[in-house]
Amino acid sequence: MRKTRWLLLIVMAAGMALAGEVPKPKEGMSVDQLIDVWYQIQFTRFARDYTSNNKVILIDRGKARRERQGYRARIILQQHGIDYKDYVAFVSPAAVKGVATLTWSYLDPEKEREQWLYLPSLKKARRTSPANDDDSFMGSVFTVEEITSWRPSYETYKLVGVKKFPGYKSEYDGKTYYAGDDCYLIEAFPRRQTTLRSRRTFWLRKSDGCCLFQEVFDKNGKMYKTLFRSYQLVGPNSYPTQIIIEGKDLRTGDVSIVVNEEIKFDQGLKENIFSVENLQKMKW
Amino acid sequence: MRKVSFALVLLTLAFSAAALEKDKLTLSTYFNAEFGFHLNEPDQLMKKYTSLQLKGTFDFTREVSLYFNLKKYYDFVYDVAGQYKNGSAKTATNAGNLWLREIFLDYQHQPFFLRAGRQQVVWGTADGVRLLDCINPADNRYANLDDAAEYRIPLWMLRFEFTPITDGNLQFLLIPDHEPNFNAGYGDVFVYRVANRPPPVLPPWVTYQIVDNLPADGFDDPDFAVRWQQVLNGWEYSLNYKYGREFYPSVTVRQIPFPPPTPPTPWTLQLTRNYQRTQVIGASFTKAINTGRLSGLTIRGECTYTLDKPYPTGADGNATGNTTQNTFAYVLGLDKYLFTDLLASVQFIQYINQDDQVASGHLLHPATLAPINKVENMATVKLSKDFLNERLKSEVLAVFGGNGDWRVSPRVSYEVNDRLTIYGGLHYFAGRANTLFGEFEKSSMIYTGATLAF
Repeated sequence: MRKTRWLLLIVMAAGMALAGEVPKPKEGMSVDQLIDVWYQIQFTRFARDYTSNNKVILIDRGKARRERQGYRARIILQQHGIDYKDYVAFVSPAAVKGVATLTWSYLDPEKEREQWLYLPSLKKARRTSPANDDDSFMGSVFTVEEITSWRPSYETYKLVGVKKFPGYKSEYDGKTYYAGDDCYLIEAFPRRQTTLRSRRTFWLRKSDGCCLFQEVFDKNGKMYKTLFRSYQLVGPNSYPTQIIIEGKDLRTGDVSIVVNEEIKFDQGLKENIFSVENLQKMKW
Repeated sequence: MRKVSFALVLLTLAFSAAALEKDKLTLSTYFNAEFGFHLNEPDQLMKKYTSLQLKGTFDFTREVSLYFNLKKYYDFVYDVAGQYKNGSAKTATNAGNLWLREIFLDYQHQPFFLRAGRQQVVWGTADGVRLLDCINPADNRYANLDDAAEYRIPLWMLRFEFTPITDGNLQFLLIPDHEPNFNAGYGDVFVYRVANRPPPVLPPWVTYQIVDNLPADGFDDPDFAVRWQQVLNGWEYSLNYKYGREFYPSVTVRQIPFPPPTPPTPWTLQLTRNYQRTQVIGASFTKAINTGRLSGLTIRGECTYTLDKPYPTGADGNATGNTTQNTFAYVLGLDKYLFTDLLASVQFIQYINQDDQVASGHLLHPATLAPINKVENMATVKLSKDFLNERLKSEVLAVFGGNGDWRVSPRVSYEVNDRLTIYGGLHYFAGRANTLFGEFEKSSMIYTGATLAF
């Protein structure tokens, strides 16, 4: 029993040593460095791996509500040209159960992602062209870029100043979050000419670099979308982790909410879970 | 029967264990109703289909799990539509015990994986064209217009996999089960030209006998298949080999005794169906282009070289002999998103036979009995786009047969809520009556349906 306890302690210590340090904003950081802090947090790049159960709630202007539940796993490799590998599978509703995607993202930001899609209607893992960055993420008001593919190099940044966050009342749980927190207000301008937006803002919390809120503006300078994120510290290493992601399309009135639950970090996931062969073993 | 009994024991075990550990069991139920009408005579029914499907998983341990898929369907069109009342009604319901579509046990212990039971195994990268997708036979009774997972006939088999490196995998299949393709019979809705003729009217002293030499199930003479698959520098490739049997029969007709005696002495006209041994050697690849002007383009392809593929021979519509050929076929496909979210997919398919003429006549297509050329081409184009936050999905598939025949199938579906999806579409066929799509020209169908899932 004592031996097992020692072994557990050694394994935990090794895990903590292997896990990266969580970056935080520091005085004197440039705007690009602040954005990089947020990039590390958004994709939990300090962790070696990540799993969670996700709920995606889609509410349209008529208040009709659809809900999808899924499972997500990610491994951060940062070797052999691969940045990370990501696996997402739907578990409900029954109509989409079994649909799964496998994405490999490269370290080179110019290199397009690799993606495979498992469709129960074909019983086949099929290589697909990855969706464009501006495409909707799972039918939500979020874009693919906002949830999965954004890189700091996609935009140029300007620090507007330090402001108090006015607070956000969540559609999901009705709570008002983070009123009065000091934030760096940063404006971001896309490098791509083809994108739908002219600019967007990042409200990065001064204490930890978490992005609490974003406002997205169209080519006419009119705000058309907002994004809110809530956080919790998760696991033995207290990683700042997104719990609720809430998006509102101000043109249509559509609201999309992602809720991450049962989040686990650094479980020692094997890379072969993120392989095409594994995707082909889907039962559904 | 023993296999079905074994499957039922497994199901009983899983449900009994689930009574104690409910979180290890997942269940989903699907109810589907679909109506099809003749495009030219919309008051004439072609399909009145209802199905109930139960899918589930049970995790016995972290390493051992069970999956099952039970489906019962019935097509009422043979009961209500006068036009099809004299059909063979083969399309009316599941054949045999195929209501038990899939049931298998998985055992996973890295780097090994075993799946044992009735299952589907899918090879290849082509969409809707079955070259490397040669492990399971097909239920052609709806002319392969439904989803591939529905028209493939699952087989009892052992699937063993070994993953020696991260992205490389060796698969071995041992298949003691043999099922032929199912085809609609004379008088049914989608009947291939080869079967679209009434049974022969014979004088009373002649007995008509059909002998179906289905290979015996078991491990004495099983099929087997091997595949190596790897992703290397962004190239996904596979090398494939199958030692199996063709799923459609080679048909021979004999008069017993021969020559037949003078009437009214009785004699027998015997039609024998044999299932030819074949070997399939194949390969496939996919590559996504991630940089430069072609970024976002996916290229895919597969090819097969089939040894001893059987063909009927004779003249158009009249098979008088059989032959075997070594044939080569390949598919090349391209996929790309255009205008942000319009997915375009095109495929070119070519079949190359050794000869189109043999001593016993012209090589004939097994489904249409039309003469086939030494080189036959096909092409497919598919466009799909979602609207209303992926609630409304639309797609159109066009398939060109290379002999002036084609089919186009537009379809839209709408997700009413998390449980209910409604859909509608059209299958339009055109071409000469002896071509793959032209033979269904009078069976062009407009359809609508709903799926309730919970």
